[in-house]
Amino acid sequence: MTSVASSERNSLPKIRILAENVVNQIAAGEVVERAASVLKELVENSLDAGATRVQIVLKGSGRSLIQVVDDGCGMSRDDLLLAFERHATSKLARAEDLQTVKTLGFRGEALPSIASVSFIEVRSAATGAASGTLLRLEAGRIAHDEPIASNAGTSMAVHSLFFNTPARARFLKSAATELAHLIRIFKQYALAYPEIAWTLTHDDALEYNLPPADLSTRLNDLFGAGFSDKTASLQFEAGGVVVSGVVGLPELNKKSRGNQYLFLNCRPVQSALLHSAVRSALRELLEEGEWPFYAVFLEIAPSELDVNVHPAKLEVKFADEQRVHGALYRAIRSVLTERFVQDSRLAVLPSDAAERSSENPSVAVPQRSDLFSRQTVASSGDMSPLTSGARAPDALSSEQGLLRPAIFQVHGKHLIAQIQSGIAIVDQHAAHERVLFEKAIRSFDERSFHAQQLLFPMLLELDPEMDALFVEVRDDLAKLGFQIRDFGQRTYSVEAVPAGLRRVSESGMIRAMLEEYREFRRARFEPLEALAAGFACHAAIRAGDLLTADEMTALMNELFATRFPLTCPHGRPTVIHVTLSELDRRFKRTE
Amino acid sequence: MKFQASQSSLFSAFQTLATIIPTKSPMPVLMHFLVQLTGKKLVVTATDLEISMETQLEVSGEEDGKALFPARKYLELLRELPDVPIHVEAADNGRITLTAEGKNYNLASENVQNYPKVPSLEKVEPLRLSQSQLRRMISKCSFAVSRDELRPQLTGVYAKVSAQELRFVTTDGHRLVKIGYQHNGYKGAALESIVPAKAMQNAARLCEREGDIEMFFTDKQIAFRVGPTTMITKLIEGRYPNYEAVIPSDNKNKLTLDLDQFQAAVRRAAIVSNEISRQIRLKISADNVEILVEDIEQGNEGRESVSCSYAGEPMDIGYNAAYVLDVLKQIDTGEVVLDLGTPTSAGIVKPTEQEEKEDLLMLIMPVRLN
Ligand SMILES: Nc1ncnc2c1ncn2[C@@H]1O[C@H](COP(=O)(O)OP(=O)(O)O)[C@@H](O)[C@H]1O
Repeated sequence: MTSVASSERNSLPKIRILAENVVNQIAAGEVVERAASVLKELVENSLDAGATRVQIVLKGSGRSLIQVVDDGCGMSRDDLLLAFERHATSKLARAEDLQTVKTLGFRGEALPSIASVSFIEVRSAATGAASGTLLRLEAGRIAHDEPIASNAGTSMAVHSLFFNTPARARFLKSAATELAHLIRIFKQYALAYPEIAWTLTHDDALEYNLPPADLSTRLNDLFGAGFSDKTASLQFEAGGVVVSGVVGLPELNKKSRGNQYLFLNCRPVQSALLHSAVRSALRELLEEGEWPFYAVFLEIAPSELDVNVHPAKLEVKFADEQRVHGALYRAIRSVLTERFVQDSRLAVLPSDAAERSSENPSVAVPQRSDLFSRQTVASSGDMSPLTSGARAPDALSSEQGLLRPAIFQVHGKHLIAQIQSGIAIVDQHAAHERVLFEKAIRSFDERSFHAQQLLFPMLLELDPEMDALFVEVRDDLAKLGFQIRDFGQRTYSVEAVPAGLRRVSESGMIRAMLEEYREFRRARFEPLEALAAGFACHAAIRAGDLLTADEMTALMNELFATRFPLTCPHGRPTVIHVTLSELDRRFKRTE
Repeated sequence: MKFQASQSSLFSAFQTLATIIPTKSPMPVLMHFLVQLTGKKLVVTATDLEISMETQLEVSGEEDGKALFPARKYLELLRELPDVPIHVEAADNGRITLTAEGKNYNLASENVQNYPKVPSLEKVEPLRLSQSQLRRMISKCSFAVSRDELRPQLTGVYAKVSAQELRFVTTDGHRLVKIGYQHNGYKGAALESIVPAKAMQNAARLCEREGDIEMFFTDKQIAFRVGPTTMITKLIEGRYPNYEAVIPSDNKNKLTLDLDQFQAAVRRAAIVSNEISRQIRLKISADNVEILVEDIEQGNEGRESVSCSYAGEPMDIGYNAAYVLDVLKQIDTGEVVLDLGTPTSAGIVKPTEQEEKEDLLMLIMPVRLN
């Protein structure tokens, strides 16, 4: 060890210079893949410098010039010289440690790497300084160094990228492709920083001129007037994850990728995990092979991240992937819904049959006694209450079929409805779970469940584990309408249950709810959400419950009045949406 | 087995048993009629293992035997045939042939050996009752039967027979019906049992004519017999809850209302009530009941007043409108009486006057107002 170290020390000066060039060029290959990577590094530096205006000048798709001009804090001559030394970064020194680094760049290898494969001309003046510095570098070597008069800020111009690495140069794709990459980088940062004024010039033509704005204006400025109207904006926070931004409505779906923008703490990132969260949240809106538009911003405490995975800093890893995935998923589901419903793509249409014949109910509800049709059904007459239990009273049914939507129950578990764009298939249990879940959540504040008093209080004896859960949720159960008396020794008497629950086994309810509650807690639901989910799961109608036409209508209406109708609390879909075009395609009617 | 009978006599006999046949069953034989011929006597049986029903009819028998008839197909075919003599034949290979005036249908069937053993009628002292009375009692109490399969006792009709009275009780824990009838005498043993709701429903179907029905009570089964038809049902095991203990004896607030007016008002309120809770609120004072309804979620509300006569403390009480309508539907008098205790305790609902020999009492539990 010692001998190796000392022999290195002897030959250090010479070796160092050689090694540095090599190292820089190797690093360049990693960091500086193409012109767009250079732009990205330069723009990040400007943003880190606190710029409020960033001007980008490109020539020859970045091959001849990539220039970024900012009005940020600038650099003194000393800083400037240091900036082109490998691993010279002012950012780590400022930050407490790698874990909490919040600025965009921090590895301090970008500028030396870029410099090693290009000619650079920098002009920079630190805020408050009397003069600035002009520096020219050729393949990383300082070729020119002079003081100049300059306003605060920095102009970094990278000429003739890859002039000395023909292999890399050949690797570049067509000019159009390279330009597309450059523009994409530009759009990413323009989206992430709408409060900053941006311009982009290519081959002397001003392509973009974006004044400071909010996100929706920025969207319109970047993608065309009216664009933001076709998006739904996100606003969500759960478990330390803040989600904002927008997702596009289906009309913005494209057959090719490229319109997906994902930012983590304002830095553009790629994450298969997060993309899949978006996709699954949007699943009913995406046809096969379609890509949605989104610009999603996540904010997460830096300690929860590992951004140091790749020098290009694009791939991120999360300490708790599930939570981030869940937050993003829920953020989209919750907001999407409102737009989705407004969109009325799922509005149930009245049945065509109802128009044709009003005396014939259009809904074929299979009856228990349907087997021997005519006679049997007729003779069941007034005895039906024996099987119908606590159903809605007759007064509430609209047998005329006047405004009745076309909804059919099949296999005692799915509802099929005709909607504007095709058909919706609803899982009755999941749908009812969603309805009850949201109602329960509201009930914790508003007590929307009333307590139905019971004639025969039900005894509840719990084992220690269940009892511990029970004690946790007891007060909240009361808000759902349960009235429970403590008899001591883990024995309770249930004296009232939530009013109006049809087809529920009241006696087994609390125990089943507690079990569900435990599961949802394990799945990291907040306590109230877990309780509401447990309640909904157990109180909801089940597969096999035959619904009357009115019940089906009510369920559909209630479902689409929820904030979040597309999934049950477990995250399973409530609705499968089959579009007319999909049907046509499957029936081979597409040309 | 071979016999001949008219379409109408066959159809009406088999039709009686149709409701017992399960629509789906893991045991396909249960979806068949068991048909046995001895001389002129054709005995037809159906069972779902809980309830079994048997009827007899006279046919011109040609060859004794025993076979299974696929219930659905056979019955539907019968129905569509004209009322002419029909020749029925069950071959040894299990195939059933129907022949009538040049029409010939041949049905596949199951092996009769696989049919389960059906319980037979135990000859005990019967209770004799008019069909209309039994039907009436069943129809009055059926609505309150529970569907909670975890409390199987409540899914049945409690039936108690004694030397003087036949009593039915049903409850789902939210409301309760007790209906008693002073019969004309019963010499059998006094018994209490819980009869499955489906059996009671079928018993009511048997009571469609003038004349009496006989009921045979034992501690394992109850049988109903009308003419040639007998239905035997297993009982639900376990103890029925102590319903007498929950019938309040000191409900001092007595409210009397015009049935039609009250019913109409509740029906209107129910339309506006919350679709899940169906909650309405009664504000009762000396001479009128104010019915209030509010559905916060939908933003609907309503109120109306019904005049009443009331002796008691002013009261503010919540109910599930569907439950109120259910009990009101059972009242046959022009006015209805509600004996109320407190806004959280059971209220008694009764007609102003009982039918002769009958005693009808219903309980309804309120919904706690927030
Ligand atoms: N546009 C700029 N304005 C102000 N300072 C800059 C600018 N560009 C680079 N710097 C300084 O040069 C340093 C080195 O930059 P760079 O090599 O890109 O590494 P990193 O950004 O990862 O720190 C930065 O830490 C910063 O202090």
